[in-house]
Amino acid sequence: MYCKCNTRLKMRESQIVVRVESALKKAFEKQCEALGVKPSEAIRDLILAFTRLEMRHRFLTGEEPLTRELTVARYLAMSEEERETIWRKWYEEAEKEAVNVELKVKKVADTPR
Amino acid sequence: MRILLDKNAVRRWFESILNTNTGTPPTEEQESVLTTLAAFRSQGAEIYITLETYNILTHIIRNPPITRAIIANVEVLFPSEPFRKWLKLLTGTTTLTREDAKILAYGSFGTNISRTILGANRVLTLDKGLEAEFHRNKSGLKERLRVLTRGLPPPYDEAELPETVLIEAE
Repeated sequence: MYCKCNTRLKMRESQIVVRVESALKKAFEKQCEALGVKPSEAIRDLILAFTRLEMRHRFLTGEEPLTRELTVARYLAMSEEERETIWRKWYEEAEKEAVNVELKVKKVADTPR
Repeated sequence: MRILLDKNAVRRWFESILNTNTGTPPTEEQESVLTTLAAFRSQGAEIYITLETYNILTHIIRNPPITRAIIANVEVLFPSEPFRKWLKLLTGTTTLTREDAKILAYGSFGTNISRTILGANRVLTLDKGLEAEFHRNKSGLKERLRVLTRGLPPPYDEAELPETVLIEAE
């Protein structure tokens, strides 16, 4: 779609996004050209920036805790359905917390500076 | 341009971090989310997540080095004053789930902590149901939003519907 490394993937969009995708692709290639980099390498670097951990290049072993009950390895061993269920549960918990945060934010925003 | 990620897009991003850092290649779906984010970011787009997703990453998932890879690249949208009213209208007039309605409500009435922005231009999702239901109701929602914003003070009177971007792997 945007570069050679991504040809097997596609993004399906509503009408307006088709136009956005085309504009993005052109702008991305133009920007890469201006910077003298290959689109595939530039996008690879951007992707790395989205997934890089600040752990001095150490890999995760899987034993690292993820939540109170889960380790990385246990999470990765879950099926798609189990992951969907657990994220739904997490979302419900996070929603309750959001109401409290919302009130605190309102208080901060309303405080005269 | 402001891009808002729904919970499932963040989930794929999160899982891609786990995969790539345990030596497993990301799945096509995860890769698709990453390349879309990279393409938007290369154009200077700002990436946002909702307060609820932020809470998952900071309160429920207790591994800062992993979640920081996401948090360092995003900003958080909070509900502004008309958010609840618009959410009620969305849930009352469509068959959108509460979570789907909420992400769209953030798209129109989400704001940052200093309240200098309003809404997002695009909502990035992997949820076909959300995209289909949104487009089925789009013209009606546009009109309802117009009526609602007419009675609101600035900057809320300029709130708009976001566009949805559906990502799917082949």
